[in-house]
Amino acid sequence: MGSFVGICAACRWLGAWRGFCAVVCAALLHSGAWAIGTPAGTQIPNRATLEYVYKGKPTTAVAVSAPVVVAKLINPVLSWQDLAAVPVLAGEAARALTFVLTNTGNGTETFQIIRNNTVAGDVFHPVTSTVGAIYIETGGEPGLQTSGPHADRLYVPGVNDITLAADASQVLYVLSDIPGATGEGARGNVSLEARSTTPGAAGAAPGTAFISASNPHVPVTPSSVAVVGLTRGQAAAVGGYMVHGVLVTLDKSVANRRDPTGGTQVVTGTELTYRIVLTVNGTGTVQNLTFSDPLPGGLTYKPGTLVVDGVARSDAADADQAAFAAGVVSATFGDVAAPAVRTIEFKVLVN
Amino acid sequence: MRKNPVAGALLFMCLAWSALTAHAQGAIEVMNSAEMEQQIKTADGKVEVRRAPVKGAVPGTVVVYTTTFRNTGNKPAAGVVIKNPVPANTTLVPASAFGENADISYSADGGKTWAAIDKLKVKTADGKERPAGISEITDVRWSLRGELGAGKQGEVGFRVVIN
Repeated sequence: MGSFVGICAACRWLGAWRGFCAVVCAALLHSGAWAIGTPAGTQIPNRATLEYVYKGKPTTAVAVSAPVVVAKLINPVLSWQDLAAVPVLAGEAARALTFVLTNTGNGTETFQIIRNNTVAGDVFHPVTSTVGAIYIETGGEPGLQTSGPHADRLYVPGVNDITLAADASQVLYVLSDIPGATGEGARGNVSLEARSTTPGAAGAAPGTAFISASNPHVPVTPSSVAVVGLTRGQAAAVGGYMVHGVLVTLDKSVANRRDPTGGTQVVTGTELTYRIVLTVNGTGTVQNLTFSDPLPGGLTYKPGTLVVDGVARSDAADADQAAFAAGVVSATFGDVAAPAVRTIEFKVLVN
Repeated sequence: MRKNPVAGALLFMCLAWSALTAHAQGAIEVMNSAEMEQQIKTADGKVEVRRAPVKGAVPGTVVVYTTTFRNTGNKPAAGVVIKNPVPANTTLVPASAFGENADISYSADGGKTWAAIDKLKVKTADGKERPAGISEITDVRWSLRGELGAGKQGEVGFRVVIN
């Protein structure tokens, strides 16, 4: 290195952006996980000391570097949560697909959500439900509820876009109506997309940096920027429906609670009455319909309480086609033609 | 892309100068800089490493800290020792400490004790000692061999990755 003279403000920027993407890309590619990365906006100072003896006199010199300000990484990830294509009937309304949006960046970011019903390669195109296109899980009860005490919130683009802190996730429901004239076995897909609302970020090449004046989460300094991660500031996932000719739905609820003092608290000794309703919808016959319900550890089956379609059944595995054995409540129904409803009830005690 | 050596050197000086706070106490002038390294493939397929100001440093980015010093006096300086802590929220990159004509040692206790990298130990909860991990290194120290002659200069430093 030569002389220390020559202060040149313009030089500071010369080459600073050229090849910059390459640097950030390299960083992105070499870093496996940022899920617990240093938060955006964190200042990293550094102070070196130098000790020496000059003309017999010990001396200390100090040099402080300009602090490194950790930039915000914009990196949403969206995933479809249903384990397989959601079974539906032709003409059915308001069927939900479940997605999870996760902010794997290191700072708070807001995302707009967009659904696309015309995904190439599927057999039919689901229709945006008249009940609502997208719901945000806000009701605190798993699964979509469009009304009631645990109702989830309807998503309105630009009004309640999804703001997520670093590492935070949000469950989203896409609600569709299934066209009437849809054949059995047909698959219909919906693509859901989340796009960073930082202007220009969504779709930008990984490593693209923004001095984000419009972003309140990042202070505006020359070294403070938002950087688009490998997901290009956006994320998409495809979920699907599968049309069945006949469909069985299961609804399990606690029909009654009675605690040892006659109240409805869930305490040791409380008796719970479970009700399971199996509904066979559509056109056709379900073959070999069976039901089984392994009881969790905290519950003990109350002998002699098994009732199927309003008729008491024995606990033994015998001709009445319902039983309790080895911790499992079971019932068999054989072939059931739609439409039909089957109801199973039994009582358990809370341990 | 070809690197122009003159422009490169000039750029580096300007960057260094503008990015640092210099303290000229006594005979040795010392500066400390934080920079990013960029790997650029040249036309002949070779990978060239250049330094640039830190910008858009997200977790996973490597930052190079360089301490540059020069004896501006007319006599040699003796016993030159540079100490630099590994900043919070970063982890030292293994084998990244550099510095010519210097013995490099490390500390895992904030600079109370120093040892060579392979001899560095930390105390466990039960009072026993075990080898320090790379993420436990808190400070790096360079002890210059011999004197720093009048007008002579040098640089030492290390790389860290932002956690």
